[in-house]
Amino acid sequence: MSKQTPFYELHQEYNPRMVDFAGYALPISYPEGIIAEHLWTRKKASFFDVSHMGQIKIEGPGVVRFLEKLTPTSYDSLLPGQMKYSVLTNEDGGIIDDLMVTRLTENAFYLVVNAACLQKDVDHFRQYLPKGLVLTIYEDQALFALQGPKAQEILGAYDSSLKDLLFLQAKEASFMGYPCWVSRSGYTGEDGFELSLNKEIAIPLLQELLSHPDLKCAGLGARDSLRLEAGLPLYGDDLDARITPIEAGLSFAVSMSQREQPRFIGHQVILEQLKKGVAKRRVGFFPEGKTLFRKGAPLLDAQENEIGVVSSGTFSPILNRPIAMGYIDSSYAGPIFAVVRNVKRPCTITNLPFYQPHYKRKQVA
Amino acid sequence: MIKFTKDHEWIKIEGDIGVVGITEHAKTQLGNVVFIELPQIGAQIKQGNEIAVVESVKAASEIYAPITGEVIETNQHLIENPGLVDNSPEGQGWFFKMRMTSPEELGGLMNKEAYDLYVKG
Repeated sequence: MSKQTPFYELHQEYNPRMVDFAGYALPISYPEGIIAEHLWTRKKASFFDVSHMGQIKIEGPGVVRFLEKLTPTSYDSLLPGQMKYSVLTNEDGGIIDDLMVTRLTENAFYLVVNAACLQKDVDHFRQYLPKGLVLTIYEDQALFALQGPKAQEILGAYDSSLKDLLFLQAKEASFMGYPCWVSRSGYTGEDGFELSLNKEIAIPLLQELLSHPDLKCAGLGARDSLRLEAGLPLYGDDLDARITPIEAGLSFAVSMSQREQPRFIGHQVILEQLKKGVAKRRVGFFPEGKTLFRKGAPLLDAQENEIGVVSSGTFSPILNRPIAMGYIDSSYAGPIFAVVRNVKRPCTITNLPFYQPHYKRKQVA
Repeated sequence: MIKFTKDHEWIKIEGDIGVVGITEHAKTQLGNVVFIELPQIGAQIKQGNEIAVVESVKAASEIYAPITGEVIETNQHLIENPGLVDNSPEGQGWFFKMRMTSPEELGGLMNKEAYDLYVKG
């Protein structure tokens, strides 16, 4: 039996198609369909229930050193209310999970990890957790995303200080008296927010927010096509334990100070790759026809040698064509074909993202 | 006359020609249709063999020939507008027409009443 998120009853009011995802019953789409939800998110704003994701607090003296061992990122100069995207690495430099890391206070950090990886991540943390650090999992804590160009207008109506929150900043806020932890972040490529709040107030707050005509519900299907358009990797598809952040195009997660004085697990492999290059790299593809490429489709050269594999693919409603991501031999530069239903389909490599993000960054004069 | 298969295809009979598409139920299961791989004109397909593929955002689904025959026409409108399947799966969203070579196969397909029961069950 699937677990229910705090928003379960609310979803049912909108007649979704439900699916089991990482042990939770979640909407894959609502009656208007994935494409409509996707387009609405880019034009107006959508609500996504992401309560299935793991929310963890780690606190105590030495927490920065701990995080700098388990991830290739540095957090010393991260101020309270600032967040970074990072990865947990294994001894081979492979990615155990990708996650968002937020500094709450000097000695307390809040992490959001993938739902399917929560148990694995916690076991990994506990293996290295020194005495004096406390790890807490938020059970039943609601988490939702409000994404799209209208997100600021919708949420900002309840808290005018929100307009000063920049991308990857977070703070405590209160909407209609309901306290939340809100960050300006997301997984769609649009401006928007992610909010963590007590499960008791989850539905009342959303019922209020959903009374705004520009806010609609969106499910996991649209969440996937949105993130793919934005070039964002999905753990389990585009990232796994055999892929390093360098191969995945996530070198930015390897901080300068960690390159100069590496403290993180797997630094040997990763620093070598930074120096010498990688054998395979993540790229974007445009299939030339209308057939979608999907995870696992082999990529061949003109002589039918395997030169890579598709890691994820979908239909892009904005570009009105199929898009895909995958890994390709770094040294290869020639025609590429994906094998889909036993037929070789030509495609071309393209830069990621397919759609330029609209994050609310600091304005540079 | 219109008949239905267990795989949620419909076939509308006009003489020895059958017009084939997918049912409203199938379309609801699939979600947004983004592309249909239609068969070649002249293709000879046996009943039950794969004849087309419907790509939705989430997955590709095989369509099977409801009867044995030769493909004589495909719905060109679906190429530019796969959304016709979303809007009108049992009308304008038809996929292809076949000339039936073994019309007795129709006896093994469901009528509307039987199909509706099948979907409910």
